[in-house]
Amino acid sequence: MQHATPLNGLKVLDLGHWIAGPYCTKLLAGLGANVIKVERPDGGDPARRAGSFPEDRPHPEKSGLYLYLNTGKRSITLNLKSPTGKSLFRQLAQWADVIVENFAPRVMPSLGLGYAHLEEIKPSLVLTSISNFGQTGPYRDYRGNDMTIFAAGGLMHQFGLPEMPPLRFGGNIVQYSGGLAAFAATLIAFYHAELTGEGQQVDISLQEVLACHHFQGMVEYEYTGRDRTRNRTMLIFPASDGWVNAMFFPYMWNRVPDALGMPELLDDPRFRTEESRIQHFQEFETLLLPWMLSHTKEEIYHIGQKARLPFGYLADAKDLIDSPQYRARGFFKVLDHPFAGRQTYPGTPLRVGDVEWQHDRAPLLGEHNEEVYCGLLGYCRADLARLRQNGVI
Amino acid sequence: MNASRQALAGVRVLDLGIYWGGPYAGKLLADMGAEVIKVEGPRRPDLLRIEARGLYPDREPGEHPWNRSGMINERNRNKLGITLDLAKPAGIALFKELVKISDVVIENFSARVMPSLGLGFETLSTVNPQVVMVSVTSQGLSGPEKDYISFGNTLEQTGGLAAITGYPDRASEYSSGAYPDPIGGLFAVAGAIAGLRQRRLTGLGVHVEVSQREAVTHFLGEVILDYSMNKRIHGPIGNRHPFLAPHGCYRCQGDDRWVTIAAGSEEEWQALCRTIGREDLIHDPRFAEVHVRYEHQDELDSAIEAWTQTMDNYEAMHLLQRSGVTAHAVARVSEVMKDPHLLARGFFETSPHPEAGTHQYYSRPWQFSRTPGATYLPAPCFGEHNHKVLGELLGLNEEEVRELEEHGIIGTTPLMTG
Repeated sequence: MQHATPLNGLKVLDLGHWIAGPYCTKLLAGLGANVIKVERPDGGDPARRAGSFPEDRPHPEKSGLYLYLNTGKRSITLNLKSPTGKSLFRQLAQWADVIVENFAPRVMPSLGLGYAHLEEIKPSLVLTSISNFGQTGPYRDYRGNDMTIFAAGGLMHQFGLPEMPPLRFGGNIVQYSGGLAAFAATLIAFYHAELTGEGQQVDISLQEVLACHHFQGMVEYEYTGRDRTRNRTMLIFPASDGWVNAMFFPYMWNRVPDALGMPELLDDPRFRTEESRIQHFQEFETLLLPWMLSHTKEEIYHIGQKARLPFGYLADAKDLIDSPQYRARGFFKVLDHPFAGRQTYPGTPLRVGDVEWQHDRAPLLGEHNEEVYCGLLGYCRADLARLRQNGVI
Repeated sequence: MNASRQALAGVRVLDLGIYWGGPYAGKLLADMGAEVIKVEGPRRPDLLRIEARGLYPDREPGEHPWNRSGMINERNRNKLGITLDLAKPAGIALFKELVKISDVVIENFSARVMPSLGLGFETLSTVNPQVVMVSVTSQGLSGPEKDYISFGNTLEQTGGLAAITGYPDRASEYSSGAYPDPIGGLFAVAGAIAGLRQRRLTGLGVHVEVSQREAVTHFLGEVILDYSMNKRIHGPIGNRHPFLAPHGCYRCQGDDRWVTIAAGSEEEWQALCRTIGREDLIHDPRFAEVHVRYEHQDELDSAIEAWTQTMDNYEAMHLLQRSGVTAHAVARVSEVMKDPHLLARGFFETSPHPEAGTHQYYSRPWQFSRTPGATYLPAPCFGEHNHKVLGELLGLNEEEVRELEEHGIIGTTPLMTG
């Protein structure tokens, strides 16, 4: 039985805000790292204002985005612009093994807290910096958001449908991807630092993360000169209660008619070959439609899968929470929170042996000021009051 | 290549990965200095060698098409390549000898495969109690759907991403690119390193499991929380934003050329109006504040597109960015590969390959200041390093290696039994 967590003893200072930085450190905390999140005294992480909120009533301690992305962490407040604040930060940097930030690239150096400065404080420190376009380059200071960086990485042009504009992913996939790349990279850099005492800066560019994730487009252009654009890759059908993707590869065709309760299709000359199926595609869809509409999306999913066909169903939030697979896996967790109450959260997609994912609720703003400034750095409570009066924390 | 400058020097990885997720993880570990050995079967090559989708140099399969597959060459650089027939006891025995001297085993087969080969984690850890096994799976190694077949696109659907992606008022139908695969690969890299640290703390190896379907849902935390809090179910909103406007993709001059624009603040909105020569919009009551703009997005988008349609998309982007507006051209692949910013960052690498020629590829999703990753080997030809690995690492002599070839345990030509 293994009691240790993989990242037991790893000390992380989290300057992240919004999504990419916080997601990286949420994952580190999940595997057992000791994460202190640094928030600005006036309002904290802007994700506290993003929502969603219970009953749509905004409240800085009830924002769904913040609550999800900051599980497992402690929160302190700190004004990095004040000289005393910087001094406190340097003391915390001494404590930390890893610092994660996702400010615009000019911010840390302008605060006097760039890597050149930090490595003097602690040569073994790993600074992970996540930004839209990286720490260097002609577009370094360009503005970006999830959609525009998806476009910049070259994926958006290939997503969507041929007769329609390019399409972005819903949600905040680009920022989560950057946080995940930062998580993996930070672990590698920390591995090296623990072994050798040598720290470094890890530079994550969201654009570059996406540019590494082309399915075939990049190598297709390089090898054949074809500049890939949008096409049709799915076989979406309406079911009685939603949508399914009834996709299959040509070599699977023989299994399809039986699975769909239409064995006569196997002998139908219109559908015998891949080419003829493409030719008679409209008729194929028309024939399948009644069967599809008379089953629920999950029924179709299971029927297809039992016949070894890679069917999928379009699951929404309710479907996910009700999913028998997710229930069996215990994937979702219920966490209680003094302001937001009991809510359901995704757990973890990464399991390391039997180790339990560390999943304490997100902290209140500055909840651990005393624990950290007094307990860790040795200040007394009178000092704390003074620091608060002076707007340092 | 200075081995001591590499973060993962001294780590040995057996990479059984196929297609994308597993191989991507192996490549990234190799980039950072691990010795990664790609293990394929003489009868079970990585299928991308055989189903190369026509992605050969100049579409020419050549004499050995399995060594000229673009997708293989892109994702398997920096690896040594061996073949071992894991359906034969001799192949299994050799694999176990390699496990004894390796730190990590990566695989992304469907859930039944490794146990059915007699190479599940229990067995591997009796062979080497310190081994870290990383399984990149569709839905995990447990649960009623663990044996379901899922490709990357399917997992976008069953993981919840497809339901919030798509043009409004259409079923979420869109061409995508198996995005859950590289996400699984990144989790696998993290899992491998976490496993190695776990090993350092406990003295024992560990089985790391990545579920790609769960990884997709993990990227949708705020969507789940909104359902938990308010029973609200998010659907597709195209290129719009949940609450900001304007936010969209606008047609530009030329064929299939677009620019994305997002105005997140009042300053950005006003700067946008000025840049497109429509200061009048600033004072238009329909667009006065963001929630009002949100209601009138159709009119807004028309006004913006009237301007973008007269512009080159990159020119529009630079103009807007200089005025402080978030905007980016929707780059084609060809444009990404000559993006001056990516070129200045040294993001692309030129890699020679003995049978596929010299080509440009992406490097990696991070840049390290002290132990930079690098590409020092092309992707291996099929079984290219059989002699080297079996000889140098397992001490087999030439005679023994030749015997293995004769019995089809190893080989350099894929034998497909159909």
